[in-house]
Amino acid sequence: MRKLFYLIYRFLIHLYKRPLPAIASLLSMLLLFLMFDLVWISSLSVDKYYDQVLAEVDMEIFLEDNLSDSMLTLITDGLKDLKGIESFEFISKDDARARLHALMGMDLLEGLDENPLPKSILITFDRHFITSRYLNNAEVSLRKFKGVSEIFYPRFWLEKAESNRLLVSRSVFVIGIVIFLAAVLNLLYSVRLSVKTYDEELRQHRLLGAGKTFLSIPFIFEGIFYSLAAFVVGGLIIFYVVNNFTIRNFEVVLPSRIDIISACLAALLVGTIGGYIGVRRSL
Amino acid sequence: MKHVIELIDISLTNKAGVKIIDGLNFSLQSGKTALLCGPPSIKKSSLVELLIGSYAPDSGVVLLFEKKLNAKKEREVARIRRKIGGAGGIFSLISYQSLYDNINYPLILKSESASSRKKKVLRILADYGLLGKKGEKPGGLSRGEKILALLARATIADQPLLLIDEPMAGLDSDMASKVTDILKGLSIAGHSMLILTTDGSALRLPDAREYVFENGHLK
Repeated sequence: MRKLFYLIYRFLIHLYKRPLPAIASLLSMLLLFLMFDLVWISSLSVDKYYDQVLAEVDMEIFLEDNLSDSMLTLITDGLKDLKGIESFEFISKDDARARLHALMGMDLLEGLDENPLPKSILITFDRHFITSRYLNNAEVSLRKFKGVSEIFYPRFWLEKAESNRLLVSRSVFVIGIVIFLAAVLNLLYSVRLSVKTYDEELRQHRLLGAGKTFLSIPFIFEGIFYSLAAFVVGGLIIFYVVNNFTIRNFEVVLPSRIDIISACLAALLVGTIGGYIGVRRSL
Repeated sequence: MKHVIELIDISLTNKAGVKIIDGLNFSLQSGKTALLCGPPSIKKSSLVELLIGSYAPDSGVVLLFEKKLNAKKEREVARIRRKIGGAGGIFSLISYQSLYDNINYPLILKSESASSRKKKVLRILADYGLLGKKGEKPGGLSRGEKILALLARATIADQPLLLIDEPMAGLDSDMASKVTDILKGLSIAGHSMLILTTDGSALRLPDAREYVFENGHLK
């Protein structure tokens, strides 16, 4: 315990004796973490946005005019067997006309002898099943039913949205790795610089019987401090900004508590790795 | 009587490929003092580096406190070094730390409490006539005061073996006699000491055995 107090004291002395290099290390780590926070929050917000939009995706099955009730029953039974369907609604020709009227604000079909709009079934899927692959498979199986004339869902939009989400998540992953490496290297060289400053002291202390681990710990603490402090300050800045600026029709999503704790542990790991490599390679 | 140092048939070559120790045999019994004399050019301090495990000999065995020293084992070397008090040569004071902090360090390695450390440091500073200089950095001390401070650091944690390199170099007669008195006191107190010096006659220590280090051998 006494040794631990001494090691903490030594770490504080390192910060106190070299305030400018310490601030420089802290600021560079802060910039890296701010960048990561921004990318992270952007990715979460984009993800949430896509989630909200995708939740509105539905599929409409257009039916032939001469479809008999028994065939309709067959189709609806088939729909009940299909996984992932949250609900479905039969839309008659008259309902379709009423919906068009409501949508356009006027009856476009007025004057026509016959209602040209087809009967249809509007299917709403559970959010987790709204993927281009699943909806494509559902389309293939629904097309097998007699009396189905056309099936519509925003396939190309969905595929594009999925590829965009994938692109965002891959970008976050790559940027995350780049930031991780940059943070480790940044800490490594900050700690090495610190070790160089105390070269004379370390040499004498080793001669007096201090082990490498004992001598390393204050420098590892230094690495952990830069990393954690920068992460916390960066987080507070982002939190302040997000809470004080609102963007219309776009919700900025903050990470969950568990995600924040995980990120804190990751920052701790970055600090430990950077500090450890920095000091062990110099001693 | 136990041996604190035993060097058996030691050979050591420096980086330039020159043999600086050749078939050296030496032992120091517990509580005894040995003076190792020779001109500065013969690198007597390599012997100190060998004893503290800075490097391993090309051949031969180094026994410290009757245990074989393996210079490659980091923990073992650190543990042995905590039993050795060094002054002069490679052992110097840390220039940017106060005298108090310099002398305090061996006690930190022994995990002593802050109050006990403070008591011991202040007592030894008083014993060595350095109490008024406790806050001074080594740059503000005379050569003699630095030697005294190094001796204080070398003995504060009751290190059983002292390795002292050129304790009398550059001292005026007053300081030389003060250092000699302290070394005599340490010898009487039962410390085992290996003193490397250019001129053995400058040190008149009771029961000290004098060796001459020449051409890598002891005479």
